[in-house]
Amino acid sequence: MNAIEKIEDIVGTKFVTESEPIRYSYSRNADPILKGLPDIVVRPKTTTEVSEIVKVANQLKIKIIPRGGGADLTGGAKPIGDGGIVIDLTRMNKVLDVDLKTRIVTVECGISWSELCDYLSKIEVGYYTGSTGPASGFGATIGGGLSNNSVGGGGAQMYGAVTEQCVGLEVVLPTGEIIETGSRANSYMKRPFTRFGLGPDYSALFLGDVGIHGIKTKASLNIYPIPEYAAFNTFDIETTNTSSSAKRATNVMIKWQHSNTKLHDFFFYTETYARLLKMFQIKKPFVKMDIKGAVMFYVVVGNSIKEVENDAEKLNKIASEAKLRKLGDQIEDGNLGKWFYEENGRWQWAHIYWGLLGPAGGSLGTCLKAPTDLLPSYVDLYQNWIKKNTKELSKVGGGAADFIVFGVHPNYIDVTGGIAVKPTPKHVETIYNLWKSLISDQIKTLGGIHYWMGEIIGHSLVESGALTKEYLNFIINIKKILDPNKIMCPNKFHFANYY
Amino acid sequence: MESLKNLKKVQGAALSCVSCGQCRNPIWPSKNIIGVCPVYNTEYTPKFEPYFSRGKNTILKGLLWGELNLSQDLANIFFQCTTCGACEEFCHNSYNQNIDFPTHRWMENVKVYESLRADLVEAGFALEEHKEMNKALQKLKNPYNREPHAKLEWTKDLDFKIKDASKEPVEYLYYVGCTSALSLKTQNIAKATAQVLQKLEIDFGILGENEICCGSVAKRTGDLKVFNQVKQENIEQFKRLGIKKIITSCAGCYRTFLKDYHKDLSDIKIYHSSEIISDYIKNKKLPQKKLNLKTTYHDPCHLGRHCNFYEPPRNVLNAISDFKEMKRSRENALCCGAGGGVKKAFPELALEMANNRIYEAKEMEIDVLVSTCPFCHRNLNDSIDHLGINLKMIDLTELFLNILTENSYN
Repeated sequence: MNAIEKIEDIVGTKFVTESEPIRYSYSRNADPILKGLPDIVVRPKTTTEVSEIVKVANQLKIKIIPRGGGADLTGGAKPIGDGGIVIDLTRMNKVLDVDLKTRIVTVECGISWSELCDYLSKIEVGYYTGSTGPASGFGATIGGGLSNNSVGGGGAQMYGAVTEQCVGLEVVLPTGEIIETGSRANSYMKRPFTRFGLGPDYSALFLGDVGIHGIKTKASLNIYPIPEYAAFNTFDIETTNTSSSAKRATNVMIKWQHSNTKLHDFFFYTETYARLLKMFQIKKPFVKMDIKGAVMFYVVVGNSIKEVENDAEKLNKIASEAKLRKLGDQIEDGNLGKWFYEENGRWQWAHIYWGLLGPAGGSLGTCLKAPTDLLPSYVDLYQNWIKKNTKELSKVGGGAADFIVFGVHPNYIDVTGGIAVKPTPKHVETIYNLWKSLISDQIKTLGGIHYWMGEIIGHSLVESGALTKEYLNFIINIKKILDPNKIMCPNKFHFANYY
Repeated sequence: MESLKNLKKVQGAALSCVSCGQCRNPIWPSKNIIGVCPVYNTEYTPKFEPYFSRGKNTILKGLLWGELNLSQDLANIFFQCTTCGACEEFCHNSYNQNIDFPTHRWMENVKVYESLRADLVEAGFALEEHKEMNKALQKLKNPYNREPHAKLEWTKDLDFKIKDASKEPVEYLYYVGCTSALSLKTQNIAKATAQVLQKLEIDFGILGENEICCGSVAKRTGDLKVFNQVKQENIEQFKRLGIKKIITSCAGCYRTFLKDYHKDLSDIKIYHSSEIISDYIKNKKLPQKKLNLKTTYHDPCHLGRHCNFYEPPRNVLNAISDFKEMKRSRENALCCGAGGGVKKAFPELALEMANNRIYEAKEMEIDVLVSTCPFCHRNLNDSIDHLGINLKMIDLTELFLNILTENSYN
């Protein structure tokens, strides 16, 4: 039997395909140029099916690529190079258990953040996962979020990346064996409640691993009651000089992060983005938005009005001392914070900048994490990079490269950046090189810590020499042990070249 | 012949998907968004990527960038879409009243998918079921393969005579549409519409056996040759007869005349029957009485999302009944599953989608489910029969007729 026949035996004929157009639809993620056409796409329903498929891949030496919501911005959820089996996990989308005593939810990893948060919101007082995935949380899955160390979908300043809420996993290893991590690895403890205590934190091997170490099929996450009270304020930083606004914003951010308040989220929009908010026919929700420079907003939560008011006062005072001008309270007045928290802005804020170049535009993600005080340096880096690449950018219909910043628990920021281009097959190479050059500048100039570890960033990390020799050897050795047949995403980090 | 002639005309829109995947199955209760694609939310399909819009849009890139070719396989995927437009409504790169940033208006999924279908048909990849239907349409001027005189059958039971608009001048042409005229399950809509127009003392007539299908089914299933032929015949007939105002009780005909005939019918005013009734209630301050009925309304995609036509049916229902909105309504309304040629080629899929809509209606604890489209009516009614659910499906004109006459609903 060939691969497709063997997999048909596992999942049935309906859920596996060699159809060319279907395979093509899995050859790309949410970036405009990276492509790898799989030979087979399969949608398993159970962990056992996943395991059996992986075993077949081992027998036949076919590479496999797990995929959740497919919203990866750097080519992490598609084959690198053609061929292989894409395992689409979105059929595994059940909530398996909610333990309100330990406040842990256990889910199949193909469920999306919006599906899970909706489910949790209906339980008793209403719960959520604290950090609620990436900015594409309407479609992105829990598995994808855990694989990419996702942040951005809300709650990051209070709860950190989504991986920090994970207390245990079920994983199909590259050899097809199924393991559980965290407290469930103890055969006498079937309740997930902690990742620690049975030796090293082996759950972490699979968190932020972009699918190189195994396929996460189940995850247990902390859940929290939805805060009863929240306050939100948005501020204008009245200057047209990005460096100056970034310096002022940095001081505010550091003080906010050290403020000992229940700061749930904060964001910084550069002048460019703030200007776009006004320019692009945005009639709602910010109809009366009176902004002259960059913009900052925060969301603070609490258990009483008084607590929230006290915290808001503290945060407002910090902003006021930095001469930030507070906008009105309502969304129409430009209160992005209120929109972000109350109107699911958490899962929309990134999208408004896509397509700015008109029909057929695309964005090349360059998101990374950085110590908060490095923000002004990133402003310089982006400005210098644009100056250096203006000519090349104009060739590919681009010209803009910018970022939005938000706080991550406890004391760092996410610099969510991108380059706007108009992708065409003719320009793929030019676009790829431009993209890589900014990533490389981020890595080499400021030690950028990226978290999307898909094709372009994983490769850039290795090629730029960012990984120390000892660290690279260490991760190659782990990979070799876990994946002796080079089955699981073998081309990520160029692993296939190393053993 | 250039294989992507039609798709290339809408290339900008076709390439504008950024592949974020938010259209897969978003849940946003405060906006009543509970999933988007009616096809993706069935068990009929395997739910691979192209069974919701992002996957289709990735395929479009492959076609336009020369990395994929048209094929029967591809046709089978793209024809399993009702072209309801729900994905377009939710997309951040299209104009959307629901979400907060209608900044970009690049995406036009319905127009793009119809263009690709036209290319598929020209390349010889039409579905057999559609070929048969469009062949009948070309020959007999209706997709039901019925002789033209059958279009008069529904008038036999009426206790008044309707003017023949092909022989005498009328202020309004009541364009009945093939489904109301020829399908036994929906002829009541034609009868009720005629009775309502007569009771409202509107000067109207019909074309009867001379009525030519608007061509909606051909347009939706990509047969532009047949569509353009019937379109031309209709335009010539309307002009020859001096028609200035058309009333239709069919959402599909309304959409086709308004958007697909567009400038070619610019000197003719198109009304949906619900507009006439709504205006009548507004102007005549009628009725004072209400039906003792709890109602809800299913927005047909061709009226709602496609033509931004939401208010008149609601005005009527609010005036004459105890009306409650369905959870998914207006821009977020769940498609009935019949459109885009799906009911013809994939009846099981169409029925499952209708079942999903009927379950939602049933939850409303209403007496009747009202719509304004004979094709939605037919598919939803099929589902009611299939599920054996105690729910009555009725057209708005039928309901309003009860206000004008004495019957059980009063």
